[in-house]
Amino acid sequence: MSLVSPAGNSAEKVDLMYKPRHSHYDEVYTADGELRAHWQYPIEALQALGVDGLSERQHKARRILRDDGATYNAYSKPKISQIWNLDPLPFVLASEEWESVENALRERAELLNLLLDDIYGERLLIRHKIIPPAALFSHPDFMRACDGVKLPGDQQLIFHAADLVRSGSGDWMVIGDRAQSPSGSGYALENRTVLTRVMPSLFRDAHVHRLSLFFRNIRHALATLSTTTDLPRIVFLTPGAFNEAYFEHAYLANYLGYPLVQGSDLSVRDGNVWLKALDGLRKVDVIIRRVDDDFCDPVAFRNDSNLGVPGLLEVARAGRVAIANPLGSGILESPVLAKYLPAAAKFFLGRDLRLNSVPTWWCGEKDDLAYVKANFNKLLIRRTSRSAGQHSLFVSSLTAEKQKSLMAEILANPMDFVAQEAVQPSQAPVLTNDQLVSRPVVMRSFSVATGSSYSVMPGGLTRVGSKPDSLHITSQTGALSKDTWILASEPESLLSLRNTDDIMRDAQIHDTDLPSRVVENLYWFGRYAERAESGLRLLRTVFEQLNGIEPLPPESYICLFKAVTDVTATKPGFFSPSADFSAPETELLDVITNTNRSGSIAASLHAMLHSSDGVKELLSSDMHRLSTDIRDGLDQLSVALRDGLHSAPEEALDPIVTTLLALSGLSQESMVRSRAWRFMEIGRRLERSLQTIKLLRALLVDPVSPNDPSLMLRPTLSSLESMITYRRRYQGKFDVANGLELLLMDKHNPRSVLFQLESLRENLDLLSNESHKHSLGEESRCVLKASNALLLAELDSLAIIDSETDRREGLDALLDNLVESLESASVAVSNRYFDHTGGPQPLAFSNLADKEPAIDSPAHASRQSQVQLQRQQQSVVETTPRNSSATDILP
Amino acid sequence: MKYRVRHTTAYQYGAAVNQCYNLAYVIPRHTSTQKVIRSDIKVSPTPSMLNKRDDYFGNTVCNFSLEKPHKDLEVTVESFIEKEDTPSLWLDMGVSCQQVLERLKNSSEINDIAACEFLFQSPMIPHSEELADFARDLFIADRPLLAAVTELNSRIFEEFHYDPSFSTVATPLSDVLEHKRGVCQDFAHLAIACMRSLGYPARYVSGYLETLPPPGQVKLEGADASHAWFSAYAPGEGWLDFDPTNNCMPGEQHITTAWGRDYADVTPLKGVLFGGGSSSIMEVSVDVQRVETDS
Repeated sequence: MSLVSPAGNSAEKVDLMYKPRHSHYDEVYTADGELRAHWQYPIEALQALGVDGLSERQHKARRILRDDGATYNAYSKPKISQIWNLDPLPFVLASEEWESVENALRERAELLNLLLDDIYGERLLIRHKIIPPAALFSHPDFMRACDGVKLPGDQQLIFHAADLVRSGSGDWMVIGDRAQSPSGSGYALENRTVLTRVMPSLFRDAHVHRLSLFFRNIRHALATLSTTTDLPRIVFLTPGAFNEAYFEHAYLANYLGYPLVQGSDLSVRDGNVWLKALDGLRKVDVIIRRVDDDFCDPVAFRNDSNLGVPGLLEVARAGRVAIANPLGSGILESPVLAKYLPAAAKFFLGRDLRLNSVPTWWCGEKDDLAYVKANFNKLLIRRTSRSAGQHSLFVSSLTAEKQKSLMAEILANPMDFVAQEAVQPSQAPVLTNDQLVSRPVVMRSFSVATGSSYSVMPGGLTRVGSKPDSLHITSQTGALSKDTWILASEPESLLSLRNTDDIMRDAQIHDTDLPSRVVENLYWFGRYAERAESGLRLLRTVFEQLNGIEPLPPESYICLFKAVTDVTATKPGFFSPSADFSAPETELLDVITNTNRSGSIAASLHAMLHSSDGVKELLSSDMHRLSTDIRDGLDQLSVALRDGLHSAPEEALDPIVTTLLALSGLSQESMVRSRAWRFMEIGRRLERSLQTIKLLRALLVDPVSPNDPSLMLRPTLSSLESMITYRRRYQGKFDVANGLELLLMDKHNPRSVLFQLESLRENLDLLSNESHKHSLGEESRCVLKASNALLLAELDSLAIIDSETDRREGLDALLDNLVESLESASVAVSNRYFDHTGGPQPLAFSNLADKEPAIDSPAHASRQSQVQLQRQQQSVVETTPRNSSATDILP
Repeated sequence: MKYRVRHTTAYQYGAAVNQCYNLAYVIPRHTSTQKVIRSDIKVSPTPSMLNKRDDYFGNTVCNFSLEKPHKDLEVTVESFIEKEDTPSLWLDMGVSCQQVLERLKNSSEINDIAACEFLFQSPMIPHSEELADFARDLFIADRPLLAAVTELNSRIFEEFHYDPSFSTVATPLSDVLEHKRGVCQDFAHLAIACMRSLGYPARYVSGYLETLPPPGQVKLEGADASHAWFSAYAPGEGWLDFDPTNNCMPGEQHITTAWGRDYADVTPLKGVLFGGGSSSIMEVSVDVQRVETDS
């Protein structure tokens, strides 16, 4: 066997030595050891890179994927998002071979479309016994409620995906179909994007077919499903952030330019489906769904589903919303059908299929069951219905005992099982631990309805087993993925494609189409980010004091510790009677790292990240990167602080503070001033003013030392990042009145309370102006009240210490007043913008919120709890911002 | 015989319901012995949307939604039905059990194929060897199928106690079998489960039964109840109804509303609501009256 090598580079050539396994079909080499023609160029180029070069690209790719937030969540490990795994070596196919595969896939999609139409229509296949009645009637995925529900146009099946393997003979065969909400096309697109970035010249020179046209076809297919004459509103329905493929949902929704919605963002009214947008309901024409049949409508299907939209099926039946793929299409994924596809092809098309399915036996047929019994060891056993956790089983890999119990299960319900031939997939090289090794390959292809036929993505999502003889090659079982390259014989014309790319990018999600859930998440994102930042700053100041950088008299420590408890709202903390002020480390550490303690830095950061997960599609890749940095920073923080606070613990906090600053800077500098942005900003400003007020109250209301009434001003300034400004302006003379001027009333100081209030006013008014022209909203009124109180206050009376109580009573009263107004503003914002579409009458609700005279009136409280109850019932995936809103207002 | 059936379901919620979406199987269907002269559904408060259509099994299903806050809900159906009396049948003859099994396997006859719909487990009726055993001795190869079904019907009537306090909608059949207690719905499910577990098609029928007051007394309004029984399929003869709760074949006094694989396919009223608090009160009243004229 010889490697074709470019001139020179002998050392690297040896490195790249790839040994195919002779027992399997190899994608790169023939059985005689000849390099297959279509691999010639890629292999030469890869060889020129050498293993080192490849490894470097692999790391780069991984970094990009991490920064893009490209993850895949394994159900077995909840809460841990795995970075999507991409091999730097593409999977390469020649144009000529692909053309025949493509035609065969088109034909298969056409046939499945006829099947779907028939199953929920005339059922000729059953009447003529082409498919045994039992195969359909006994199947749990046959949705009788969907009978007669049709999409406009001839095509019922909009999306189809097929998993393909190449068997030992070199022929492709289908081992599974995906027909309700096929996933993977977004990952394929991300793979392509990343690989072209890390290997630009290789990609360009290899003349690889591009993917963008396929996505344009998707947009076209969905637009034509709409019956409206206006511009159709198309939404992308996801089960939410805990779904395994949530990254893909956000990624595709963005790429295609559709709002990403969850079931609770949609509502059925007046026989239509509506998006609960910020300022009311907007009619939805087409839904591209990633929620399974069963979960889409709790009225028609599983009534315990929180992921769907009650009443959805009836709207679809009336033709007033189109769902792609239509409800009920899950039945096409049943491996039983694979057995009867050839007969169905004869019946409908009058010819044999060009692409075979893997040989399949249905245990519900007597003869098939006999075969399965006789050849049990050689087969793969699958359930006829695909549901999570029920893997297909290779009988040969089971213990004798397990084999026996599996057979017993089959005999008890034979109709629920099929057997498939255990195919040996072809193998391709994969870079693992700086070595090229041979691994089995499965390719998922994607088709979308176009005109009267289907268009097939030129490429697909290739996955490779994690072990040389992996039997299960799925993302759930940790498979690697590859970009799939279909080599064109000549370069494609770029012009037309570039145009379509522009169309994609220009298709911005219209601002008013944002679900109110999304803006609520942004608002909380802003609040939690500020909360974490102010907590971190104070803790940093405390550590600096503890380590004697700028030592203070001992009595000030107790005040500082209590301020930590106050500002982070982690009572009892240092207010506990058993608090040990001589050994504060344990408590301080807990306030930083204990994720389960509400108010801790870690908890706030987690809540912030959770909120950002809910709006993933709105954040830029830089913001994704910073989010990932914070996630990593949190892990490193617990490691760094594991051994206590001995060595400069404040430095361990710095990276996170820096990242938070970068995040806030980025949102200032590179986010469009959309309504979405305003909500983030309002959240930030509201939180920052509340945090500042809390800190002032904790440190300055009760003077610690009678000798030095301005003792605590220094840590206050330092934790509010205003020390330098103060020194410059007041030439180092520490006086509380000056400090209060700078921190409360200086509207030019971006850390002052007044600055926050002015910014709040501005943003609230801008939001409000878009809907109500004349009246001042409750939230604006509250903020105005706070500003006035602040502006009317006299500095000297704030700083003065009451001789009887020995406190700054004036300051205390003002701060109380401000907190009350701001908390009312927070409630008003929440009522006005986040709640109102939760109920049935959005207009009445929002009016009510505006007219509400007192926030704590019982009428209001009961309505609030009702709305909350409703949310709990309707949404399972969105918890953090919502649950916290109740506890948050009054910590 | 002509009947007027009035069926009212009323809910009182603990707190306001903001929206609700419902599915109702309360309008009687046409059958070979039953003609629906008129049937009207009234929902109060006025629903935002209400429509009627035929479902997969040919039943009439109503979808309706209320999209404004409400604290109570009332669904009333008034139907005028003309029933034919069914002549009593001699059931100790006809296709044998063995013939039925073979015919279902091989038949291309459209009714036989359609009957396969009712051969398999369904949401509330699992396959069970236990239940097959309960009836196995009745379904002997060369015995007429309908004779076996008649005896199964009587066996359930004799061995089981009618006990409304025992079961709920969610009580599994294995419990019903173990304690030999239940209501009409359980007995119908039980008979269906036995038959399907042995390979014979059977379906669930929901409807009403006219009850007659004791001699000399006046019938009380609203004293009737909705009822359920089952139907067995004999190839060549079609579907025949059996009422295990009353040990009879439904006749003139049984009014059919809908049929399906089990209760879940034809639940009289189900839906999803938002709000409503934790407690709600439901009241159902059914009144079946003989009438002389159409309305």
